[in-house]
Amino acid sequence: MAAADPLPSDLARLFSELVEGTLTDEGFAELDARLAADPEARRLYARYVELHDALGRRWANAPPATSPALRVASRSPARVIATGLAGVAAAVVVAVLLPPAGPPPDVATEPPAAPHATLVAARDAVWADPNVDQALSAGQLPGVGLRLESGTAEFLLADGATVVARGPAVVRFPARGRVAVDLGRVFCRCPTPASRVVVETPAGEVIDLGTEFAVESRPDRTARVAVVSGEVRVGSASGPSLRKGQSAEVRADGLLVVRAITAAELAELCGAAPSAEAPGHAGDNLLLDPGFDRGLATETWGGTEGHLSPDPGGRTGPGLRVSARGFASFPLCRQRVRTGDLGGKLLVASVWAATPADDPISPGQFAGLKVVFLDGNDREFGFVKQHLLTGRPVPGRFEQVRLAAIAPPRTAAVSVQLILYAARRDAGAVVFDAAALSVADVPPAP
Amino acid sequence: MDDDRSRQFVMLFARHERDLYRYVLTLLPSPADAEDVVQEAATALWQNFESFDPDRPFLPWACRFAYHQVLNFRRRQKTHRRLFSGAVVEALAVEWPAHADGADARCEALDRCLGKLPPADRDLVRLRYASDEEVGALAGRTGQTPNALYKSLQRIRKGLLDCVARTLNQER
Repeated sequence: MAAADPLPSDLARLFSELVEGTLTDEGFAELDARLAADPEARRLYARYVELHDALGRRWANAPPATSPALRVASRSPARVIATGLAGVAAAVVVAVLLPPAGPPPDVATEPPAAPHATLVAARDAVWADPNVDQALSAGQLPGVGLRLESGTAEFLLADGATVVARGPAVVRFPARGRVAVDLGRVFCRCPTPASRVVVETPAGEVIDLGTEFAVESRPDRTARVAVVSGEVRVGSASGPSLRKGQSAEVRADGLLVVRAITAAELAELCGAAPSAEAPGHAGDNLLLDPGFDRGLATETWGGTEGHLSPDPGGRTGPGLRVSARGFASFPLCRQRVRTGDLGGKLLVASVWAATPADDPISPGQFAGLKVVFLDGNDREFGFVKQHLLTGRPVPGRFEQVRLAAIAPPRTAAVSVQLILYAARRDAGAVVFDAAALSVADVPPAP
Repeated sequence: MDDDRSRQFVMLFARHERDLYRYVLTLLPSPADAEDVVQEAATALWQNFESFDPDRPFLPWACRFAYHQVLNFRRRQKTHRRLFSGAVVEALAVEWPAHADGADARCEALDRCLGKLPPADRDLVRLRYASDEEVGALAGRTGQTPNALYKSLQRIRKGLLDCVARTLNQER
């Protein structure tokens, strides 16, 4: 049976009765026999469990803690997590690792359902209504718009997403997995599929598809959306999508203008000033060594020996040529950047590239910008990348690519790499110029 | 265990807790049983976290512990619980990583498939999963008999599962 073949009706009945608790002993024996004999039945069963769980996760209202041992905790899960991160006893840390939503409470004294969101951190936060401050501090969530005059407030949503509001802002949490931004800026981080959120603004909705993104809602009922990583949809579930490195201006009449994001814009939306100049400018930019404007300095950048050479045809001056020459699949130049603990920092990398007229790349060859994350032992454990010069690039015409990511925990250094995907051909080259990296702080994770 | 290690554990577990629960729920059909086992597994993971190699993926490591907790649970409960046979549990456990692969894409496809449901079906599935009440109790609100509601939910879930598979197949 192919992966897209439908679920047989007899298995659908057995699965459904199993999850609803109505399967008879005979039915259970039949199901067990089918699963024992048929790998496809096991695959479909695993898919069915996944579907059932996803639907429950999407709409469940029950509090996550159901076992007696956990009911004694008077603090909300979010607050205990925050405490756990500060380094409390093992038992407490384990206690916050709650299993998912379970059966309904069986006693009348069960605590009320968890709020849709809980305040977990605040920095210089001034609320317009002092009662709001008191309620939030007590782990409650007022049902009114939360007007934050200044400072930042970080909320943990019931399904694990983080929403950081930066004053002045007015936010509400009208339902589980939804945040309404009536005014101001929020930054959303949704680490798992289950934690995805929908952001409501007067200009329309922003539907997270697994990402980190910022939203600004303005008084004129327009909004701005910037995607740091992953993807969002704007307007509706079938609306246009924005991917990492893109931003959009959104209007209530449906107009959407998508454009590349800038480092300064990201930093502004994310609520932190960049610690380095924006890409393309001199200063503290880590990749801009003093000789950079005249080309990539070989003492700064290493790479695939025999495939790198200076090139006079950079965008603003000399650049660096990476040539295929048939030897390596991915000849590249790279620079390792170490600035202490980079975990949680916002990294924005960019580079310009063109294929030269005297040695143009052919179909199947293209260029790439890659940022590799390294731990304290210089071991690579993750990366982000962006391709350019795909399709049929015009020789000599420069394209810029930019990528943004939040460095994962453990990141002690990054390796910025400019790559030619050479497809093992003897010909084809790319000239890179104006590579840059900026590092900025973003609101911390809970 | 130092603070960094504690923090790392909490982050890793929070990131993978849902996958771990699905893994256990696949092996133990009762959600209540699965929750108990996940909680026991969490304790075991914490106690053994020093042996976790951070250069290796967390979920397979966690699943191994959870699998042993499932076996322990079965040994304790087998006299009065409805449990899959040992061969089925073993096969499901071995095959689960392959079965779980692509869950994010399926989750996105499910969103789209839910959007394609007729409003009445969507309301029904929402009612079922947004409520703590049993289906029998919900039937009265929908004007259906419990049996009819069970059948409707069976039909809708099958439709959603088929739609997700079809959607992903079309995107390949």
